[in-house]
Amino acid sequence: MRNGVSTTSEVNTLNKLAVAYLINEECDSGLYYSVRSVKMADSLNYKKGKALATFYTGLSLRCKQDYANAYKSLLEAKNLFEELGNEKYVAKCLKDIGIILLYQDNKADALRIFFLALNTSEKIKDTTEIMTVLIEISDLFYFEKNYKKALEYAKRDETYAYSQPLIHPREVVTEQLGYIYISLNNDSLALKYQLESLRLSAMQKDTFGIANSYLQLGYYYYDSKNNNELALQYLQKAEKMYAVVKDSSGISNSHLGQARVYRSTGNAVLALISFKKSLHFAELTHDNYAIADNCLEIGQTLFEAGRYAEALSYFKDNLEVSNHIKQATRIAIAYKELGNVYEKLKKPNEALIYLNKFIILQDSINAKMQEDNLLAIEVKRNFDKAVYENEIEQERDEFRTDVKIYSLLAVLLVLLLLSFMLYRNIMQKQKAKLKIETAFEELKATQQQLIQSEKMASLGELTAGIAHEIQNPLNFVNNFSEVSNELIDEMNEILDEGNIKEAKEISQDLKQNLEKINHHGKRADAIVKGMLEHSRVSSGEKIKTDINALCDEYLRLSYHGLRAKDKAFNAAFETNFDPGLPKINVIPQDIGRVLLNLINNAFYAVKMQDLAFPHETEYKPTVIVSTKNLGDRIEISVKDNGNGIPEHIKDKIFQPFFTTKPTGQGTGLGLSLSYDIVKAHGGSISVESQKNAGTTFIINL
Amino acid sequence: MMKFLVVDDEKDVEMLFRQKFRKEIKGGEVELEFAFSGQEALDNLRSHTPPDVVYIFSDINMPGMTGLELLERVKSEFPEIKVSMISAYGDSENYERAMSSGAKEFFTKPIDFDSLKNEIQGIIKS
Repeated sequence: MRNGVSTTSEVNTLNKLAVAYLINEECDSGLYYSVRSVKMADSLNYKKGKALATFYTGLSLRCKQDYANAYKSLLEAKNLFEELGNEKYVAKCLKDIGIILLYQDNKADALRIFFLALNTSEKIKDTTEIMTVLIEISDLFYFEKNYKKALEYAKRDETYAYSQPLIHPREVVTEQLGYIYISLNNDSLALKYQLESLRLSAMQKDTFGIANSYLQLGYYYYDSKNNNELALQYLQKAEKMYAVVKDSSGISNSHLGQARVYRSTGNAVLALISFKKSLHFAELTHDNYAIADNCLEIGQTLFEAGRYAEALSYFKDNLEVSNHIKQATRIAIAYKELGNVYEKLKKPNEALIYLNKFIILQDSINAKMQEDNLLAIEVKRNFDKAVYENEIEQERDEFRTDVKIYSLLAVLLVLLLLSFMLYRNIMQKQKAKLKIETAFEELKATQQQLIQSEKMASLGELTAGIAHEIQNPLNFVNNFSEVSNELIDEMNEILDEGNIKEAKEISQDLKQNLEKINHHGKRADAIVKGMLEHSRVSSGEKIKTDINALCDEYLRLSYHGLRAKDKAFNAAFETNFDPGLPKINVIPQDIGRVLLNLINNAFYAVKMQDLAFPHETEYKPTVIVSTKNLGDRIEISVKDNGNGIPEHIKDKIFQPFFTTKPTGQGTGLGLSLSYDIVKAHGGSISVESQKNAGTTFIINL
Repeated sequence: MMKFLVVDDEKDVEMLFRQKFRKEIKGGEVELEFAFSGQEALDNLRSHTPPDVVYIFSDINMPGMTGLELLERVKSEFPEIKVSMISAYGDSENYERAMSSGAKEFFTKPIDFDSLKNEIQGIIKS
């Protein structure tokens, strides 16, 4: 930290130092550098460096057996790596957390964490990490005596190990499989894997590995096969190999194995020599367990040989070391052996003391064992739960895969079905064509009925409106005839009085009344006629019609009709017919009715405009009827320069009974009927209008 | 002389009323005025301060302002003027709306002129 300025590269250097010390198992130095690195990375806000430093801090703490803090650091490191999206290190942290949980004897949680680590590693296909975790899981099951599961995971590991180039992972897994097959009493496979492990160790000139394999083989032949000769051979080989690498613990174990072989063959002398050698090397490594084992077994060998005094000394040493280890079962055995040896030495008091101690301790051990059993059941349950959770998760994954496969199959099936149906369709097309034609004819008939029933339905809905429309003229007919009756009575009275002048006035009124009666009667008649037109079933047949001629005929009809009614009315009309217009199939009376409606409306509009602006001398009321050949259809337009249609009623003009004309002058059925007729001919009718400029109705047929 | 206003979009109503009330008009008891839309009726009322019309007979179904709208306007602007409705639609909805808006009577079409005469006589005599 020159001049207090630190850089990320310094963080990286500190991290490398921490790793180097950790590999050498120099935990304190590892911790020193990793903690410094965390602080520096923090001050630099160097996240990646901090994550790594935190990870190494955790490993250092674990190395120092400070599991609680190691757990915290590793968890923090895991979270940091998660933020960085570094799944490789997330998996590593998980695995190392799992190992801590194992040290804390929390097997269930350890298993859960290992499964998580496994999933993460598998996701990113980190083979090295997958193999490490698989071995840990296999180990866990092995110590739970679930050899089947231990085998399952070891087998998975084996597949990975043999799909990558490194020898070491293969060695590890074959060794593991060797252990598992011994426990499963599958001797031939156990041997096969142990020899394979040995071969692999030899391949990489791994003396320590070879020594381990020899040791395993030696114990295998001694424990499982009672083949003392082979056992001894391998144990001696192991001893030499361990000597080469100066592994005291290994040498001790090799001698212990040999001693046991000798003891079991009754060769107490050689056994004792080997035990003592083993004890010597155990003492070098301060391995109290090995020391205790050796003292006990030396004592037992001496006891068996009747050398009680010597045995006593080793049993005493055993008790001392066992007390140091604080392991009740070992202490109990030590009491028992001491009791036995005192008995042989004819010291009943001492014997009694130790045997009593043994009984009391054994009782408490039994009690403790029961307690532990209960605890073990709980632990086992928790462990099984962890296993079960993982299985469920796997099944779910498998289910998802299944679903994918089934979906794919389903899609394929549907495609097959579709192609089959397509094939059938082609085959049946001819038949279908006939059917379709028949159906089309039926449809047309139905449509015709529908148009009719639509009209009738709208008629039904409008009954109230119709009633009202007819009610008004009828009221006038009734009222005017009534009042006329009264007027005649009055007129008679006046005539009796001889007042001719007033009588004439009344007769004038009477004449007016009769005109009104006639007018309103006609009005009602027009409404009823309009209704009948609207609802009638068309019996007309479509014939080839010259639309130009039809338009001309109805234009004149309309004009003269209006002139006959209203002598004051006058307007110009023009035609603009397309001479190339083809004859088309229509019902001429129906289309004629449409034209009459539109042309009448046009004349009405120009009349209204003329009346509204009487002083506009420039205004020339004009109606223009045009036709146009559009190729696949024809267009008829009726154009006026009248008052126009207000925007807000444009969408209502085709509704039945909608009219802007004063009461009595329109039924409101004209455009509605026109719309229906054009629609029935498969055409369309539209309107363009501008206020006070004019309106154009356009029919497409 | 009392002035009555008849509002209806049917112009022939004027002729009919004048003949029906010929005697009353002749005798100077009643004066009739006509409007053919709600707006025209309001314009008539507003042209005299205070309005000389004492009673309005109005159709309901008219283009533009309906008789019910006219009723509400008259009742808020000229509360002293009595209003009765004459309609072809004798349904309860129209009836209730008219009465709750302050209509005096509700006559249905076709008009029963005898009851109309009774109503007018009642007003004259009061």
